[in-house]
Amino acid sequence: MSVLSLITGASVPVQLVMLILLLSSLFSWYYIFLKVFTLRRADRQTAEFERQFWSGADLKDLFQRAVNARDSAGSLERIFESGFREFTKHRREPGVDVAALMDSTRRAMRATYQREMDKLESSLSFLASVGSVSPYIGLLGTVWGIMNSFRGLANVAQATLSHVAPGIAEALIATAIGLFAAIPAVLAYNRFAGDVNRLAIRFDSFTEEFSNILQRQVH
Amino acid sequence: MNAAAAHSREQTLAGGLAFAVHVLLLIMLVFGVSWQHKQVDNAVVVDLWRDLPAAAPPKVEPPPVAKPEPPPPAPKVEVKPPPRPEPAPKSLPKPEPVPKPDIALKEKLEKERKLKEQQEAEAKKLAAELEKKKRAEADALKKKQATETEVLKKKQAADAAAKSLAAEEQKARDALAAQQAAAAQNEIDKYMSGIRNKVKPLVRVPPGVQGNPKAEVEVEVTLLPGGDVLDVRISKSSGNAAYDAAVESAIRKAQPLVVPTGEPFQRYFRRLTMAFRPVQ
Repeated sequence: MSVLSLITGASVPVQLVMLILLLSSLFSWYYIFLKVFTLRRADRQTAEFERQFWSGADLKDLFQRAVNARDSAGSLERIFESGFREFTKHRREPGVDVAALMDSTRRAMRATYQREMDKLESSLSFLASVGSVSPYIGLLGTVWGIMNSFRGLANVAQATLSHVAPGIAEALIATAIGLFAAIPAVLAYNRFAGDVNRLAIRFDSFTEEFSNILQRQVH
Repeated sequence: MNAAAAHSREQTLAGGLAFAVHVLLLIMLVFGVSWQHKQVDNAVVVDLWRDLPAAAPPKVEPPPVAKPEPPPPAPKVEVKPPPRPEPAPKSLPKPEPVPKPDIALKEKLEKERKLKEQQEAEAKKLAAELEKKKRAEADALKKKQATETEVLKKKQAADAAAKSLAAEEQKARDALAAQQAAAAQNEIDKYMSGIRNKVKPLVRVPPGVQGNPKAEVEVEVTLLPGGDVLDVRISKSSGNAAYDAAVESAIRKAQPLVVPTGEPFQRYFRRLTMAFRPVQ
């Protein structure tokens, strides 16, 4: 009695549940790996840009570089680019109010920040759903399987363990698959949420600091 | 480095890794579980009995009857005429032809006499020897005969012993068969009483017939192997329909009844006729 025979021997609803769980597990692992790569790259790019920015390079140079390498630019670089673009655009206008100028710059950076955050956080909600729901789906399959195996037992006068055991084993495998899908998803979700949070804090503080630098340039 | 290309590469990589993780898990599960499950042990249904029915033939060996020594067979010594000793070979040396009369008579006579004497002595000696030999032969023969009869006697005794032993065995076999039959009957009785004991407490005796020994109901129960009740039929009513119904429902409630398997079931328990009385 191997696992394969347990799966093939299960009833159709239980098999359906297993299929759903398998698919969600596959997708969740796919997103986990994808997220690992994305977040690692974002981290690297952010660190790189921070290093460049704080090493005292010229803002115009940085801006130019960011515009040229738009494809491979990191989130922080994009925030910088949008903020600086807005700032230079408004600065050229005659008689511009400093507060209004800073406000629009900050708004522009905010918008880019939101967009970038959305990109980083994408599919985290999927992981959260898989993590919270797949145990229940697996449990549903298990309950269904056990119900079936007990119903089959009703026709037998002398119930022995061997009558019930295979059915229960078949049913339990659904819960096992559900847990297998859920546990990594939950772990990854927590990890990624923390990572994204830390990136968001870095972006936020950069935005504030950059605003201060720009404001000083106006005067 | 093109970001879109990098992204798509990451996507494929992530997909491949996710797939690999699942394949790995499947392999682990298949091998892990099948390792733990080397043999499937069959479930065994066991009926517990307080005291074993003496069904199992208690004595398989025939009772070791003290073998009475077979009566000493009448020493039917076949009176074989003792083989006559062969007539002694007449190998007696023929008396020397009478010597011719000679001139030197005296000498001759002397000689003759001597010779005669010698011859006589020789002959005597020979005769004595012969006699001795004959006697020895006869002795040996007698001895031989004696041993032969002894052997014969012994053989006969053995034959008789074997015969009586066979008879003994036959008897033992018969006894064993009888015993086995008795044991089988005993076992059947055990099962019957087991069934009865199981059914009896379930009979809810209606107040009308309580303790009435005449209200005997006879039921014919058809059983399935394994003790499930296929059909219950009242073959002889007790006269009280309520009691009949109570017995019938009690039998149905008591299933599965404990029945033997195989041939004894087919012979004795397939259709079971039982009588119940509303007394203890």
